[in-house]
Amino acid sequence: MKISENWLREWVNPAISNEKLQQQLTMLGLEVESSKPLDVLDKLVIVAQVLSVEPHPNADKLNLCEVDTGLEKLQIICGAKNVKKGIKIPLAQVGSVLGENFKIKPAKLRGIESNGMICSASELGFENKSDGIMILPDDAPIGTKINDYLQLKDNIIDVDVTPNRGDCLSIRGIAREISAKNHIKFKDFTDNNNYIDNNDIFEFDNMEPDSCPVYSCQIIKNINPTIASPIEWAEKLRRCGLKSINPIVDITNLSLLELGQPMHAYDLDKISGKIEIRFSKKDEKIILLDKKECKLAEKTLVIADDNGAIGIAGIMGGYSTSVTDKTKNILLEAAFFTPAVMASVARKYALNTDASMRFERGVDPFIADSSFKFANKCFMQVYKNNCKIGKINKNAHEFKQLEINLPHKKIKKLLGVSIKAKNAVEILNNLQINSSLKNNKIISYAPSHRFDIKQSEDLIEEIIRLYGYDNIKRKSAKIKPIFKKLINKKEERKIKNKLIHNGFNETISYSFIDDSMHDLIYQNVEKIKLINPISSDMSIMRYGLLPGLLNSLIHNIKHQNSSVKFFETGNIFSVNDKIIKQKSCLCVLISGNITNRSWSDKTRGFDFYDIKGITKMLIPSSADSESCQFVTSNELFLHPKQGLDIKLNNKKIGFFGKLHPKITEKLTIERDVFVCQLDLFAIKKSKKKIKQYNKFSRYPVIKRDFAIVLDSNILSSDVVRVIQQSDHKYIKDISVFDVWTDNNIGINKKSLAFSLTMQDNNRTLTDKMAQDDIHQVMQNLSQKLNAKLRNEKL
Amino acid sequence: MGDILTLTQKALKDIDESASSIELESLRLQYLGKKGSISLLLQSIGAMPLQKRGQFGSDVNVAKNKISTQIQEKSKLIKEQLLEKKLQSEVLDLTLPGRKHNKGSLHPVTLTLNRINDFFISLGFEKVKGDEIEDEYHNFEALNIPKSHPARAMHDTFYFPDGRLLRTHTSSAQIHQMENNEPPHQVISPGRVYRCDSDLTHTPMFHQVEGLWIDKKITFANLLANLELFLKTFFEDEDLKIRARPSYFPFTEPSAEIDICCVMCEGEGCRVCSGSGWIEVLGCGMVHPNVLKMMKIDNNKYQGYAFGLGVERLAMLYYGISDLRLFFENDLRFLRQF
Repeated sequence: MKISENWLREWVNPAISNEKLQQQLTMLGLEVESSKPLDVLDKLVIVAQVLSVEPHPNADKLNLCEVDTGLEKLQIICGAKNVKKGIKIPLAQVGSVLGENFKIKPAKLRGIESNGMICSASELGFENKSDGIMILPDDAPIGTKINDYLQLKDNIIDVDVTPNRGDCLSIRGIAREISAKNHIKFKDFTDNNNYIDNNDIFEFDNMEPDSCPVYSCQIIKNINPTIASPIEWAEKLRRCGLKSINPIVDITNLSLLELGQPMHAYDLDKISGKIEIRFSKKDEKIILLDKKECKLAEKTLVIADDNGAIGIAGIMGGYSTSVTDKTKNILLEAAFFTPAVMASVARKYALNTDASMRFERGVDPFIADSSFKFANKCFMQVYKNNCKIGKINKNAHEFKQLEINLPHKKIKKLLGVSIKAKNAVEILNNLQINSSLKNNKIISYAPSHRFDIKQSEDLIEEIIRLYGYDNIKRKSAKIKPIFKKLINKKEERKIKNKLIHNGFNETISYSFIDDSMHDLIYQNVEKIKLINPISSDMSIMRYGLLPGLLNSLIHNIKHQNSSVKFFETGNIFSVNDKIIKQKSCLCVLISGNITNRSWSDKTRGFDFYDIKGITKMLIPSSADSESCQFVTSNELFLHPKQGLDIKLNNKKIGFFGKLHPKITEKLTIERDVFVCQLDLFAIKKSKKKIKQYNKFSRYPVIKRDFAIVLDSNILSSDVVRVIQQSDHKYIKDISVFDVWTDNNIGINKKSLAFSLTMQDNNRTLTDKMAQDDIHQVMQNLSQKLNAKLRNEKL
Repeated sequence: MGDILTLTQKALKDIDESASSIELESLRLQYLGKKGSISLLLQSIGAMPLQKRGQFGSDVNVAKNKISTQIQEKSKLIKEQLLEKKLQSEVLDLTLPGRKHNKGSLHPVTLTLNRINDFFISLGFEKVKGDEIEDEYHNFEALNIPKSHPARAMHDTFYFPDGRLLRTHTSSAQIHQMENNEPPHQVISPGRVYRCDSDLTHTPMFHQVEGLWIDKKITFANLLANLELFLKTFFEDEDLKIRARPSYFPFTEPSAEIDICCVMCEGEGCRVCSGSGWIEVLGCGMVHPNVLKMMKIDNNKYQGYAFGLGVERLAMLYYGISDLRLFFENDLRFLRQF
């Protein structure tokens, strides 16, 4: 809420600077978002009077004016239609600068000299667009600087009011807080005058007293529509971000800003019959003030006359009964609609108005009477005794004041701060929360303007808020070490560390993905769709991490970042029989070249065996070849011949391989992409045991290389398995280091070279011992796979 | 005798004049080899009269040692010269770049989360997980935010057709913790949260860390002490200026927002802190009695604090990242910097 500091100081004027005031507001929980000095005018802009107006001899639309500045009489050309003899106007004298750098100089207009400029409100920066020049009140003293006359030395403070503090959406409410903080007695609005001069009264039926506990209205007649609002009202409204329209509308807005009571004025002559406060009927419609038709949802509280709704309660009035520049008689309304009935109505209709904001948060139900006094005083100020003020017809229900008991020791218990009971009571009373002390108990009554004070904790908050969070002595709580918490193993971090040590970069992508991306990658997988996505490319909850990583790849290709080695962890979502599953997952993506382009070495593209090696690294070493198996994958997004599923204890925990070329092509990624996805939970779970040290042999190893020829359809894993299964004693490691085919070795044959590492734990191996093992291996290979040593004759 | 002397002098001269190890080797053979001059002289000892043998033998040995030493020294010299020559020839363009090793990196959000988690774990908090797809009850109602509450307007929520939603804050994890465990509670729950909001300073997804500490004597003064210490350690500045100011959250009472002195302008006022000199970094407060009651915790016996902090915001301030959108673009030029 934007407030004028001058206006606030009319209510409470502590001897503190603007900076201190800002600090106090923020530390009271009314955060100051900004505080800016109001723009002041050049001091050469003054109040002047038009003495005479003559038509310009050489121009139809211009006038020749004689203007009195108090010191001299100037000849000034003016094009505005509303320039008249005798009026007071703001004059920018020669030498003054308006706005950024619009300098007023003597000029000749169609051959006639002009010495200054009569200004419009927009030329002075008061409004965006003006119709004609600004006319000042007749009593404006000639020669006074406009700065002084309009008291432009002011600050506009923008206060962020939290939703629990509807009471602070008014000058009155903020003044109450500042008074309490500075120990100044709060002066509320009071007026003992009786403005009512006739018995006119307007009848209404309040059908919904639970939702509208207070409704009151008053007839005001004989308003002169030609009279404009006093300039000080326009200024107050402008400084708080509202526009002056006419005195009737301005008065309702002043009440809203100053007292926090939104009022509404209907054109009395346009109301048909009686009015009632009721819920909307089925299919009821209303054309609102902004001329837009609005279909009313059921259970919307409305004000209606004999012809139907004339306003949505607490939000906006209807067009049919709106006040215009011809209105002479009005019905003025002040009501209290409960926050419960107002809740989310404005949002539903997308009509967040100044009134709805206040009603939603709570308007003081006891302020309606004061607001009529306030409005009547304003009407008298503008229309003098000419307007006729009728009686107030009021329908109000009783309010029970909530009594709250706060044991004094509870303050210390909750806050850890000692505050004397006497001081606590004083703070509460300063905030107009009627409180007293009885047997070490603070007894308080929640005031009508506070909708957020319901229990003792709420009182404690008030006390500490005014005591000052700054004054709380910080004290650390005792820490109790607990075994369960101390053995946190940070498994996820360990897995991530493996990857970053191998040059991978971690990415984070949105959890929602593009609809068509889902269709492309996860065909036939049920979608979890958001009702209200930001856009269609963020509308489906990700079923896997691939889409996000692919987007990151595409982004980097677009920005010429060559090779990528990415990984991401995060939740993925699936739905089965309406049950949504959310599980944590790890995904790796590699694409491009294995090393950077270099002046010295050749590089190569990533291939299947790169992703396989990475997958192997990620699977915990405790998962041996028995429990963990790679089997042919039927994931549709993988290459049909280069994709494997990972099974741990016969349960699928992931997959890896080459992305299907159809997908890369569709995404216009012109290179191979290799991916691996793993269920993080399964990996973590398989790691229960504490890793144990394995003793290694300190005796020398014997290494032997062999090349065998065998049928080309035999897999390398079969060869390794057969070697492992042969009757050997010393083989510690088998590694395949070369595979090739050539017609010289036979049709449908391939050559496979492997190396055996042999070692004994207790002695140095002899050639003979090694040879025995090799013999067993070769025999087994020959029997099971019909493999022959390559140098043997075929 | 004269022969030996002459032979020795010639040998020494030859050695001195030799230019390569091959030449030197042939000289060695020539003088010291089995059929070399020295060996021949030694062999001739047998033909000498007995009384001369001693002197002759010792003279030859002296000569042999001299020649042998000279050869060794010359050999060493030649090797040194060879090495020197080799070294001089091994010229590289030392300005060519070294072979690059791309180092891996954790995402700055992860790095920040780790730092936050580590701090609170050291204070005895336990890390718990929470679901991202939630129901209204856990995200709102149980946190004292009924349907009609104006605070709901502050949360632009993503919904699913069955009425479920994407959690708008990690505070829902508090509720699960209290539902499934007996007090005391001392947990943090980091994770992703979602708001239907996307502009320069908002992404529809971001990360929060929720903290909850409920026990018999946890006070507001404890809350401020713990969180202020966290901020000082996080920003590695013991003198960091911090202020706690009253604020409002439906699920805490009293509530506070904690600001730190703007790290960009040191409190002078700049664009980052919108001129105020302060930057809001976290929200916190004492768990609202309504929340405790709903969780069937005796609020006369137990009390405590809760807090929530924005991870991206802390990461931006810590690393000086000015554009929020960088976090989810995953540009390598960004990722590699961490």
